[in-house]
Amino acid sequence: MSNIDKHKEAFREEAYELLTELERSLLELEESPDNMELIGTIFRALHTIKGSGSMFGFDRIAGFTHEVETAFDLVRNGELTVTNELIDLTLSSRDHIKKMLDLPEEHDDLAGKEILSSLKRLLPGKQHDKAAAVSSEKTGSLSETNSNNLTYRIQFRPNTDIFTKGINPLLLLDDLHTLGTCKVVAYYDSIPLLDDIDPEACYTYWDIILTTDKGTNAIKDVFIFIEDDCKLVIDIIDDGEKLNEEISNRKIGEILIERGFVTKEDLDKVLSQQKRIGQMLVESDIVDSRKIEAALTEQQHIKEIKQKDQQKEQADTASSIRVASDKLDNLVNLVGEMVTVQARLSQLSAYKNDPDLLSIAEEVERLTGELRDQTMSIRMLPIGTTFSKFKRLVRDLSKELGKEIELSTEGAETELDKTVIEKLNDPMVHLIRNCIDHGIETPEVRINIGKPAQGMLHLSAKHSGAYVLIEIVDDGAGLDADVIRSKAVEKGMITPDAELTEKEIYSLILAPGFSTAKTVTNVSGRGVGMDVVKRAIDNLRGSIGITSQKGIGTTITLKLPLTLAIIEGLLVQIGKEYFVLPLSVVEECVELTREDIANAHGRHLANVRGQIVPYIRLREQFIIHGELPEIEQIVIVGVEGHRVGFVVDEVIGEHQTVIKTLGRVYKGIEGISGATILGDGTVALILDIQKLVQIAECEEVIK
Amino acid sequence: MTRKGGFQTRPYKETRDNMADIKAEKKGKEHLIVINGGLTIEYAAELKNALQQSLKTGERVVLDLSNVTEMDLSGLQLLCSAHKTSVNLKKTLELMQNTGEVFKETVRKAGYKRYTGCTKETEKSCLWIIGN
Repeated sequence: MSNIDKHKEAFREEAYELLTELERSLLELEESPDNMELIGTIFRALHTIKGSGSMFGFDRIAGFTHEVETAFDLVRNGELTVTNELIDLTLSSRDHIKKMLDLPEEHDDLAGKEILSSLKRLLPGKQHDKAAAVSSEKTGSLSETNSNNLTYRIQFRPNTDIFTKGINPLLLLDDLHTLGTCKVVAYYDSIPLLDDIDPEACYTYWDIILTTDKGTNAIKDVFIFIEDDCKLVIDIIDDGEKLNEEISNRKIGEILIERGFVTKEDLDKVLSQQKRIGQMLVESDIVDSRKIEAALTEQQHIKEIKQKDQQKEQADTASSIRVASDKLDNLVNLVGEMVTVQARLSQLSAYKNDPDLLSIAEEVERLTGELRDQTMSIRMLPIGTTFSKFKRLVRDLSKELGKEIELSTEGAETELDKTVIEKLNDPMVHLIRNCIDHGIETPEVRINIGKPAQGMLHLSAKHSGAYVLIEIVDDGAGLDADVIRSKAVEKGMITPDAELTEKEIYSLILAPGFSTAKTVTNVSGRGVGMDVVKRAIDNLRGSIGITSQKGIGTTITLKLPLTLAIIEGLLVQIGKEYFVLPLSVVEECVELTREDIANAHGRHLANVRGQIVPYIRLREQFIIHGELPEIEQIVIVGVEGHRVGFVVDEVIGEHQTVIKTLGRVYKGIEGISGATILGDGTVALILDIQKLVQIAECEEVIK
Repeated sequence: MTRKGGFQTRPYKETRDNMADIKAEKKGKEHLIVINGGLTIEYAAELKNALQQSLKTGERVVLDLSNVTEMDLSGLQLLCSAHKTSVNLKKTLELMQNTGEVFKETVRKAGYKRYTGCTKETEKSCLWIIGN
């Protein structure tokens, strides 16, 4: 990749991020159209896309974005109000920019022109031409003053009679505090003794050091009503940049000279005595200690502001680093190998029983464990980005279907493995579409049945052990168990007299080809949806739970593993073969004696503390020959609320399982979800518990 | 009371039905002045008189500000002036240890806080020194 290509790639990545931010901000702006901060964010995002776009030769993007930016410049200046139309257009502009990024070669300028001309219609009068012409210069200077904090020294000396005019100087100081970081130093040296004091006169005067980005005029505004009743001097003492070096190293004496409290000669004279400058000045009676204090305050204030800036800069640079995701995948693979090799080392050292080797093996085990956890945590991403994508989806869909829906999210910071998040997107989109299309009713219907016109859709994510639970909750019509049931009978999926629990009925909607929608919309209703969702979630080793109350709403819960690359497994042995069960589903292990088998009269049922648990003989399932041990073991797992046992020869123990996918040839094998390499180099197959249970159930039905 | 422009919400010198309660107790040469309620410009003249009287007759004057509910610049100025006067007369003027939140807040707002006394004589006793 040439250097230029690299830069272009970097720009594209950045632009994608900015577009996501732009989208999020726009959607938020829709809810609070007066939020200047959001408008600023939107403007900056557009500005950056335009700027770096033209820098790297994406002239079409730059040209297009410029026009949109112009509109938001007007918004920022209060010349254009935020309307739904504007947000709609800006969202389509955002999509258009994304299209141009996706396919830089394709020229679909027509769509762009259409958006722009609609956008221009929104602009007040002829102004947009003018605005467009000046916007680039204007934005340059504007953004500078906006981001720039200036530090002012305000010398404020009210006339003695201001109290009688009903002015409270303390309130003025309060107003200054609202402008920015502010330090106030009062002088009370002109307060007379009690005998001479007029209790209703003001003798105090102030030096105020204020750091603000609002400009001199904002400060003058504070004093506007007493302009004629006070002496006011406002100086800029620090502009944040140019004076940087000079200011932070400024000596107290220099500040005093600048303020006119001391002359240079006085200072030099005193300096020659070589004592602390403040002390010397006081002793020499040139200034009183209060003035030194004020100068000290000023010095300190500027130092603090500088420190804050520096900290911010450091935080900005150190907060993140961009890494290509395939590099990360490689790293995870390597760590996986490492874990495997470490297991071999541990096994070998245990066999050799050499104390030196053992201690090394232990150390390696500890380090590998940490390395594994760290690497996994790098791959973890907050699910929030996915959530914000759905905001757009919900907005567009509800508009299309004429429904009013408010989307709320919770637990956006919950972290999930990158691949899980990526693969989760499609099923989530499907579920949300279903909620909006089938679940939530139109505003008229809702009002009729006494619900608020606006429907509610809530997405939440939270950790639960090695799993993440994602809930999609709506307050729509809910699932109708009777309709589902009759539909299933009609399709021949169940017999008319089958007795099913509510939960079982709901899970029917996950079957392929099932749809209760009377009409097919372009959103959903074709019956290809839910089984695709089910398969996708199964592939992620997750599960789907559905609860619903007719007329009140539906909750769909997705249970997903934190990561796909490494799982905690339970290693078992059958004959000479090793197998791994995901430890997360294992509930307990019990013994199965010959006697127990005889008592069950050929049925695969075990009596566990009075409870009947069906079991599957893996030896039969995988057709493994050889002698049965005297006492077999049943590993009891929980599958979709049921307890099912798996009979194995021996339970070896917990095993850090690095999941390897089986090759293409073995892809079709049912009941196996992958493989792992054990410490001694042998391969152990990872069991697909759910599939195995399904297979066993089918066989039972056939019998 | 945070109106733009710093105007007070009520006219200057309102009717005195809610008078600041300034009480002076005498224990020989020691005077305790307890101020309840507002220490604002409406009562500035009253406070001035109380301080003046106490400093004339007493040797040590202690101010209890813990029940002050409102305070403005005029109050701060009077306290400062009284203190300067006490130093001049070689008498003592002190605040009770617990000065109350209103006093502290007003001192902070007005930028009256300081690190050393304004003259050598007030080095230790200045009312505005942080921690005093």
